[in-house]
Amino acid sequence: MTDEHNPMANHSELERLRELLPTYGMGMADEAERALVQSLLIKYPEEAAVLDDYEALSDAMLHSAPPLAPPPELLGKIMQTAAEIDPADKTAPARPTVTMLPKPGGGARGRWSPPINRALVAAVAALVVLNALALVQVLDLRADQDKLREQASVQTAMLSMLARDDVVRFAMQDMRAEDSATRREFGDADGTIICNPQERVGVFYAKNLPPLKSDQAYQLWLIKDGQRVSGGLLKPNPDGTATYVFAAPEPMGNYHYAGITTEPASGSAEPTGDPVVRGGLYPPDAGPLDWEG
Amino acid sequence: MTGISPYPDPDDRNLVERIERRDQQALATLYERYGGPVYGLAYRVTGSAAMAEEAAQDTFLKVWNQASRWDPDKGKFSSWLLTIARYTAIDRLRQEQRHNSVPIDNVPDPPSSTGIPHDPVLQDGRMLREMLAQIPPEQAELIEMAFFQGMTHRQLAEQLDLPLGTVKTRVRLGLQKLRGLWIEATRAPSEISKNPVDDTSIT
Repeated sequence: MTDEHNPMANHSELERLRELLPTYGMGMADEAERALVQSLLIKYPEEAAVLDDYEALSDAMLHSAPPLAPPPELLGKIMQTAAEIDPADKTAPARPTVTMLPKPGGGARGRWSPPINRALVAAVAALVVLNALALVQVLDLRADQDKLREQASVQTAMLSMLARDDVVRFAMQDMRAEDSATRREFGDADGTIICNPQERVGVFYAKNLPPLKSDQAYQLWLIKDGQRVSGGLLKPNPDGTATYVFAAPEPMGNYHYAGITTEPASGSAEPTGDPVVRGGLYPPDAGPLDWEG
Repeated sequence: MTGISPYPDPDDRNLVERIERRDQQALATLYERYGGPVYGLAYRVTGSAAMAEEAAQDTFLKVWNQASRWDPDKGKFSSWLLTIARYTAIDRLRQEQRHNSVPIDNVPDPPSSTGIPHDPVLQDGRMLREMLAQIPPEQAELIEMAFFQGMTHRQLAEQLDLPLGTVKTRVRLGLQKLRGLWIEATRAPSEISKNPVDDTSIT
């Protein structure tokens, strides 16, 4: 495609594309440059062959660091943590990562488990007691008797959940592309949901969430049989963490998956953004995670 | 590129399938196969044995948790694994820099590399290292800092006290030269003459 009326513009566009292709192909372009290259490649598809060369160079660069002997104890650490995440069971199909919170006096945890489990539970309990109104973000904060009663009910349910021995922690993984700009800049996001299958409340905790624009929010979704229910809206703290207590319409044991997407600040009826983090809760079978249900 | 492993059975695809079935022995085998390259890449990025160890551990645990995300049709397993290792190590380095002002320098002398067997998966990487030595060192330095430490052009300019335009030009010229060398090394002469590298800046 060329602009017959402005050949100089086409020439400079093609020049610009050729200038940016090396860094783009090597995964070193910034977000604006990536967007420009992607739009110009549509206009000048013949340049894709050059891109293939740079992508091959990028792959070779990945493999160019001389291999080094890792510390001898590293394998043991990895295997111990892998066993703690999911004890070996060769007959079981793959299932989401599920970890029971340790009872008081429990043993050491591997590095992969956030070391703040018990601290997180205690912090959330304190948050519930001291900040009941701030926690119920899923509800419209109208000062009427029904809402106050509902908030108190959530608070009571949360305290009840946290006191149980069978509180469960579900890990949620970053779902963004490995080379996404926000993932590269802010690191791998990860999330955790703490809940109990009988209760209708849960805690969502995340870190390394990218900052949002003022007209955006993260929206929590609970998924059952392909149907998505909003768990509410949240915004990350300046350090990328977020702690959010939510109320669910049904007991948490009814939900199969959970995740968060980026939505308008007023929320959406259905997810419109791509998932940022997601994970399995209580899936009907042990099949692979499927955001689409 | 397709997911063709140079290894005999159990190949990478088989190991990944077993990991999806939570076979811990498969994870151990994968570590024996790729622990050296992953740790070496993490060390190349961070310049620290401690950070490299943490990044390597996180990398293999990510594979343990997300093995199903590798698509053999999109590329080699080693590429997927080392991409995870690279970004994990960059994230670790940035965390450390945020807290402790770790300077970004070229990598210090590495730990021992003895005992690492010759690995066919790394052949292209060895070839690229030789090519990097053939381009002007100021271009190679910028390319390696941008790739291994995830630095933007602007960050490179600030770190090295260079004009932004100079950084962009050196990176671009260096990559174009590498591409020319790569094509010479990897394509048949007839293929090169049919599709010459049309880049007047390659000298």
